[in-house]
Amino acid sequence: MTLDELLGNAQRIVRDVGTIAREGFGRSPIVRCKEGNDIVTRADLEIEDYVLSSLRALYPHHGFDSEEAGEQRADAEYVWILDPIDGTKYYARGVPLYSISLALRKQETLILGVVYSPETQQMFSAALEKGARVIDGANDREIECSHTTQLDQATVCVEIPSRDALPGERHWAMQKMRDLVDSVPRVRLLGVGALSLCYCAMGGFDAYVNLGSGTRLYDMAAGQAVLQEAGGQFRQIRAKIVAGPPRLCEQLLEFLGLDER
Amino acid sequence: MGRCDSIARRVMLGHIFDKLLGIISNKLRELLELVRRARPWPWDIWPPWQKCLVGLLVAVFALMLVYSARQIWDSRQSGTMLTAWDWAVFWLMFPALLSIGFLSWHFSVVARPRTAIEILRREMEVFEETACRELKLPKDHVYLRALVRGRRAVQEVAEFIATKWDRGRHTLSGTAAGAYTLPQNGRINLHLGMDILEMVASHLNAERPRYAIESDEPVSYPEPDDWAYKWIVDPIDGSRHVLRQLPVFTTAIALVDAQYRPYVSLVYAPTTGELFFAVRGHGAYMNDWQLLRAFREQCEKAVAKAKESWKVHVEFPNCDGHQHRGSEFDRQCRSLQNILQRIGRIRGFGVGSLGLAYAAKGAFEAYVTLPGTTRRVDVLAGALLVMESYGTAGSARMVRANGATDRAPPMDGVYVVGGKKEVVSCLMTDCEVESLFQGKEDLL
Repeated sequence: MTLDELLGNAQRIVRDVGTIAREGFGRSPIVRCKEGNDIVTRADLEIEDYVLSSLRALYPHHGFDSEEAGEQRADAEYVWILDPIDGTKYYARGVPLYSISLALRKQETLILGVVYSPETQQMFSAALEKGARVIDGANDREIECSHTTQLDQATVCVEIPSRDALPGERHWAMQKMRDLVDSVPRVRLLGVGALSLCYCAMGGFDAYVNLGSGTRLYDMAAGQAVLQEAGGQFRQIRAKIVAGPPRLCEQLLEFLGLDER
Repeated sequence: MGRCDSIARRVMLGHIFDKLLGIISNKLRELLELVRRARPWPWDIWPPWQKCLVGLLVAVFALMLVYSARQIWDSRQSGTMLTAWDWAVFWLMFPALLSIGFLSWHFSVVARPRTAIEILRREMEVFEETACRELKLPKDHVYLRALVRGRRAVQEVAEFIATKWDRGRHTLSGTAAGAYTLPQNGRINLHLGMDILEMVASHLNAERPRYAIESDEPVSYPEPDDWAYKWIVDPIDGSRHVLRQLPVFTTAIALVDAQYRPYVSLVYAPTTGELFFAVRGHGAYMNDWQLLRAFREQCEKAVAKAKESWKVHVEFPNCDGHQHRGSEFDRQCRSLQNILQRIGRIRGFGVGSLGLAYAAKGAFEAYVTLPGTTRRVDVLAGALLVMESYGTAGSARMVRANGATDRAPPMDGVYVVGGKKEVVSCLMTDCEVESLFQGKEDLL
């Protein structure tokens, strides 16, 4: 079981479920609503089922942590982390910015990450110390973070808490958001964590800032793996995340007044 | 020692063999994938006479092969010599095979462009017929002609982007040399944009009457003296994204009158293949004549309508347009903060026409722009989509910004607020967007 083999299998499985996702895009019925206005579509469940069962058949001793099915054998050496559809609301409403992300954790280190955007057919993947790649149609190329070093020349992708967040948190985030708009040339807000991180990893955005939108591990793990392999830093401070090239990260942390303590 | 060597050699050879097998099987898999994806098959687009010709040749070849094999086998068995006739059949097999190969290649590769154009022409005819039926307009109606022209242009843009954008490979090298900035306002223009504009313009000008074409690219097209309509073309909305290989950009085309009110519009997102189009008073559609209104209503039914789940697309202000970063920018930031505090979820892709199209599709409840650099060119096409999709259930307003003047239309500051009625009114009054407007002049 080499890393290449694991990566190959993960890519194949994720590409396969991409077709399930494309079929239900914009018309998959909503099965139930979760807390915090989150929804679950039938495609979520189908994708999760397919990925977990094929992984279980290949690697019976691995553990799993998935959005709907929860944790299974989470104390195993290898644990797969799956988000069947990141951006379910976009998916249900027919916006093509959604992704399927799958990551593998060995003890506490992320060793593998695959993020697939079925509508643009871009597959971002990374394996520990093997670099990050994007497979885009017939092209397969290595990617790296942007080389921008100055915050005042950067395009920053931001995520902000929704109205469900605590008022204090929300107020802080709004203030910081305003400050960012004030001092950064371009601010974008895609609203999908994994894809934003991958776009950041390929230099599409210079940096990624999450001002506490309540993300969970399975939302971010694969994107984090891709970004780190592309030469970026991923800094999580309580519920806030700052990611991007190291020098921009430092500047952003200082700008936002966040420190690791 | 020698024994060890030979074992080592055998193990090594085994390794090499495994590797080779792996490479070959990978290549085979790639080839199969390529064949699987080749649609339409060359065979499918051959006209019947070509199919007959090649089929006949294949049949003749097969007969000759069987005959020759039989004769050779017989002569071996009985020890007799082959006759001159047998030899002739045997040698004629090769030219037959060659001609099959040549004709297949010729029909699929050399003669193919013509057939591809024929397919395209047929598609456009179908589109035109459907348009007549769906929009209930006569074939020579101004709007219908405009829509068909726009659709043709979009089709070519799609093919162009598919080869030029090439999924990221050439973009950086191609456009890093090809990009240039307009010094006044920090906008990025791309040579790709110029190419697309020329392509679109040639389609829009393909029929009479010709209208003027306006865009923010530094080319001008001759303007007829007495024009009733005008094309507004944004060849690439989201140039920054193209430059950085983000697959979030569009081509937007709108037909407007002298007051810049849009009548026909098309918004096309090449990387995802989404096409949105609308005709004033006749509805907004996407892709293959899917009614946007129906899609949106379905979305609204499925997703909770609580105020907390409102999603609004905002164009964030940027400091490029404000050299002095004066009070205007401050006021915009204040408005933004108001919006952030009152609306549940905010999104901002930074591509106006796409934001508006998704608002029309029901993915966002409303769209609002706040930047100082928003121009009519960016928003007219999308605004018509929103108007047509929401109808009476929504409101779409384009208002001139404080301090903006009537002169120099491409750079006039306008604000668009469009979407569901209650959301728009919340944005305008509660979020104090209204204070940014000069009067209540409605430009749509």
